[in-house]
Amino acid sequence: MNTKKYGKILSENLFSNNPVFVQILGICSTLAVTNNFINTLVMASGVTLSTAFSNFTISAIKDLIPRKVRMIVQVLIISFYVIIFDLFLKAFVPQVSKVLGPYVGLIITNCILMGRAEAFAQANPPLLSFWDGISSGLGYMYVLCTIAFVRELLGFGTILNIRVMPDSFLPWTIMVMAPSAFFILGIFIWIVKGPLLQKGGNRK
Amino acid sequence: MNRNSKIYTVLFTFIISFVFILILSFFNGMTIQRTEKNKTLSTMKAILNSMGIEYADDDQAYALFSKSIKHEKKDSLDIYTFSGLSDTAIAVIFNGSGLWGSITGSVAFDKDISMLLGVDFISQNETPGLGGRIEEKWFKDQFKNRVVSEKPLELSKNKTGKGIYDSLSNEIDAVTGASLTSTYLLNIINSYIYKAKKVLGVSRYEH
Amino acid sequence: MRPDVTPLILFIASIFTSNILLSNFLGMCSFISVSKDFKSSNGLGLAVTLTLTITTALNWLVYKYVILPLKLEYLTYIVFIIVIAAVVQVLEMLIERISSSLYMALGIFLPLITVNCAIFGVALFMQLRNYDFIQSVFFGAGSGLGWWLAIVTLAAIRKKVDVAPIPSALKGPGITLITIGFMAMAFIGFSGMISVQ
Repeated sequence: MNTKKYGKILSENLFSNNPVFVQILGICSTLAVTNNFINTLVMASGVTLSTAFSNFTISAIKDLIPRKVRMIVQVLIISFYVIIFDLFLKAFVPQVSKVLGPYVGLIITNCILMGRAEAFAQANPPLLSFWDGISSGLGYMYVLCTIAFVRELLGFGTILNIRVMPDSFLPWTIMVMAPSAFFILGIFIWIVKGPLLQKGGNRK
Repeated sequence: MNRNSKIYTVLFTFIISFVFILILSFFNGMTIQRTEKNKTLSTMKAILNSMGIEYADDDQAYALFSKSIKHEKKDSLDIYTFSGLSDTAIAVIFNGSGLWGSITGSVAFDKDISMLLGVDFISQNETPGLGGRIEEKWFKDQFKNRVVSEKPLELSKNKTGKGIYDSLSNEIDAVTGASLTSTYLLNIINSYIYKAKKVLGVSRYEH
Repeated sequence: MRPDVTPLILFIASIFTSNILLSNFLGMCSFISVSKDFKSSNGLGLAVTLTLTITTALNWLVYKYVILPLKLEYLTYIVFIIVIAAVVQVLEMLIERISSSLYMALGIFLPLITVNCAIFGVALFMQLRNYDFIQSVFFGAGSGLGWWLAIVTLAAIRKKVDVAPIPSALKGPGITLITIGFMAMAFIGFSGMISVQ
């Protein structure tokens, strides 16, 4: 296996082609769960694992899938892995499952999974596709965790549910509510795009 | 066979759906017992928590519940009674409409329904991070050991978001940013306090 | 345990105070990409509204009369998605027949409605909150209208924003997200409008 290729895919999915701030995919869940760090971590793990495994499976059987049902078969495979993840959450960490609720199921419609399936798995070998899934998931994960860190810290004064800010700190309630997620993501994109534009310039 | 022919398409879709659903039922079968037990356990723990009874772990909670808690239904109320060595606690399951869906939980009293021992939740569908915060310890602790009085519980006007822990007060601090959910919850709890008093307690106070 | 919310209140609440996009963050991807163009936004909004109303109602029926009796709860996600895919397919054929200009304008977005998180999400919420049939229909229709309202508003705002001087790193998705943030704040202002009980 060509390690250089793996490295390139990793760096692309983490930076220059990051699913969240470059491709602008997977925004829905990005914003919904990021007011708590632990929930975000569980969510991102679910996305990473599901993308990796569904990419692998789709790539493995891509030559067998009839053209007409391509999309629906991809959705079926994605749903399959997400359901398994959901079943395991409900059985082994019910508290987290309760809090995340429907957002785990919504991983199925997370554009990242479908996006990677179409853009990568359809044209690449299984192991490479698996790696693409993992690295896309990681790219997704660190962006979400950053946003969650800021939102939980300023909105609740806690990190990982442990009180970190001094008692006199008055939490910024706006951080807990919807708008802040949009603002922080927008600002994140602003900060990252500067160097990205300078570096990549004419590539896309 | 041409993979784009109609027959192949139909056949493929059937086979792949069949295979995946088969594997899913396997996984479902594997986890369902555990999931069901989790649900029962969480109801038990909610009842124990609302009564203020402590337990070291899930197994102890299960054992404690099975041994010391009796269940009865009276006037459409689900009542759980704990008869300990020195005290008795009565918990009533409450259920009502929150902002989005039902809020279900347990509210516990002493044997005369003169003191509210505490509240815990079994299920709710409020907004995560906002209304959903009614499940946090600081919020639930406000209901611990409150004297049941003539005045129903109401939301405090000075919103500190830090909780009011005065045993004689009838004020509860709402969850910041979730005043609707907090209001609906108090409505539900107040109505069950009233029902409990009527059905089980000494009706010293008329509404 | 059907919650006591009247369908009309549910309808209004899902458009304004708990807008599927601005409060629940569902349906973002196509929201951000299609809002560049006002006409497509309008068309897509209509398509989403129709799809949402129909699929939420259908999914309720399927859940009640197929999934529950057969104890297939673990297959709920797959079944819902298949129902949505089927409805979108039929809708696509209808639109092609009725208005081919709209069909052309929507292009790839029509099949992409199938994986629009808003549609799937609304079905999931409906099932989670134990709504009855009428509540589900109003919830679906309201969510659709809310989505439509949000996307045309954003499209209108973007027209102005696109000609404003903005630092290049902020152009495009950056400023769009911040704009959406302000819209979300504005919609929160609606929550004083309704007292639900």
